[in-house]
Amino acid sequence: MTPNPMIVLGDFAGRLMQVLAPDLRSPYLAGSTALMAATMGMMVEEWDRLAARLAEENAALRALFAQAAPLAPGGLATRLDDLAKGLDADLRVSSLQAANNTLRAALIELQAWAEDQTGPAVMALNKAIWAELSTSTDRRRLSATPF
Amino acid sequence: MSVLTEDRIAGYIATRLPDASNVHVDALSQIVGGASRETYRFRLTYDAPTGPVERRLILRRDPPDSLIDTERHIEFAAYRAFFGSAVPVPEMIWLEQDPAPLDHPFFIAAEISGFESSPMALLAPPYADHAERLAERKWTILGEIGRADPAAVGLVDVMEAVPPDQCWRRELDHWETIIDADELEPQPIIRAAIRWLRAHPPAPPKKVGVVHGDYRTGNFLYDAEGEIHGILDWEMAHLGDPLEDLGWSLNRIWCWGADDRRGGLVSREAAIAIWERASGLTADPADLHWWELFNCVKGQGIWISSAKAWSYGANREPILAFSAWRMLNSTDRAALDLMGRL
Repeated sequence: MTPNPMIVLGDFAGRLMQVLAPDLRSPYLAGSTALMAATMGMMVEEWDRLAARLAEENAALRALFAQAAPLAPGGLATRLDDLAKGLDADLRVSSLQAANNTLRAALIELQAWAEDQTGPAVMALNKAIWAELSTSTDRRRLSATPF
Repeated sequence: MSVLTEDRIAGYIATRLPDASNVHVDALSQIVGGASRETYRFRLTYDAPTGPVERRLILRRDPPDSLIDTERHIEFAAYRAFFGSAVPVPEMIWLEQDPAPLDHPFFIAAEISGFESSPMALLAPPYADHAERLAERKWTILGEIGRADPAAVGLVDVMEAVPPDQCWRRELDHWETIIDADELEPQPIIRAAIRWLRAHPPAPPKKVGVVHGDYRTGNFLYDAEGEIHGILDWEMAHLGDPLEDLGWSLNRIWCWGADDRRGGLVSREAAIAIWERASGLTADPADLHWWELFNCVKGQGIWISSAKAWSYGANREPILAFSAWRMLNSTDRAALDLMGRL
């Protein structure tokens, strides 16, 4: 049997919420158990998409950096160019997340520089950065959140 | 975290009631959801010189690490300042800053019992039928907090003073410092928001007032007729621009109905109108927009600190992991929405 984490987590979360929590005499324990179940429910939602969304986002950020490198000043341009050439060879989530952290840190630096610049090429870049940031929240969105 | 027992609490209270005998504590139970303090309810009985006494009380104790690092004496003072006023709050009884009696500083207050606090409960009957009445009370009370004179309610000696033109900077510096120290991953959206906020500061407030600091649906006790019986969670109270509280109360992350009703109750415009009427203040649109966006930074500071405390094992309460994970992306979306980029 290859365990399907979504089924395991989903089932355990349901049992915690519907079977265990109502039977606990302590309101604190019942409430904490419900919170753990709800958190496991979010893990179910995230599990299947996590590697895909990280790989997709890393590729999108590298494409942005390839667009930005010819426009950026010296040191920043070199770093962006190097990052744009990167690849996600290791598909473990921890590796994808580490690459994502490096790329998102560079994105902050790039946007801080770009928003002080003028000209149509940088304006197009700025627009692309905001579009990517908006998309990044779609990738991370959980169904049980209010907004 | 050490175990809090009924006997330990009774032993402490006996020292605070030298004229009492037979001091007894029972029915001790922890309340879930206290992310910034551990919160317990219990029953106290004792014999006073005037006769037997029974009280239902709340104990709020500092945890090892929390969502929000604050001074409990300020929280205690804020409750006391408004007790008996148009702002309903529980009665504060004892503040203990010495960790010796119960391992961490704590305070004890009267319990306001029999009312609802869940944000989700008000979306369904019988509470949902009274959403407009509840909104009227919610933002009227916030207006009362905003119109209060900090000197008259005794808070200028407790809370750090701030010049009107520094209200925004002090708060933004504070929360940016927390994000700098605690972020586990880069936060490009909130960093962009911080840069915008610094480049477009709001006008100084007409008056520096009392800011509750966490005024939102979920932090007050309400009934099925739309009345509010207690404003809770003053742990982030400070002096500042009253628009700060209004902005926090309007944040999209508190739209529990997954629609545009603020706090799950009424439209943004209706909430602002109630607040202006009650406070006697004007919510300048540009300034309020600044404070609304600032509150996304503040929210992210809270969730980021929570995530760090949980991830590093400083505090493994499930509420920290749950709230951080659930709210981080929503807060980013709220910030993008306010910047016109969603």
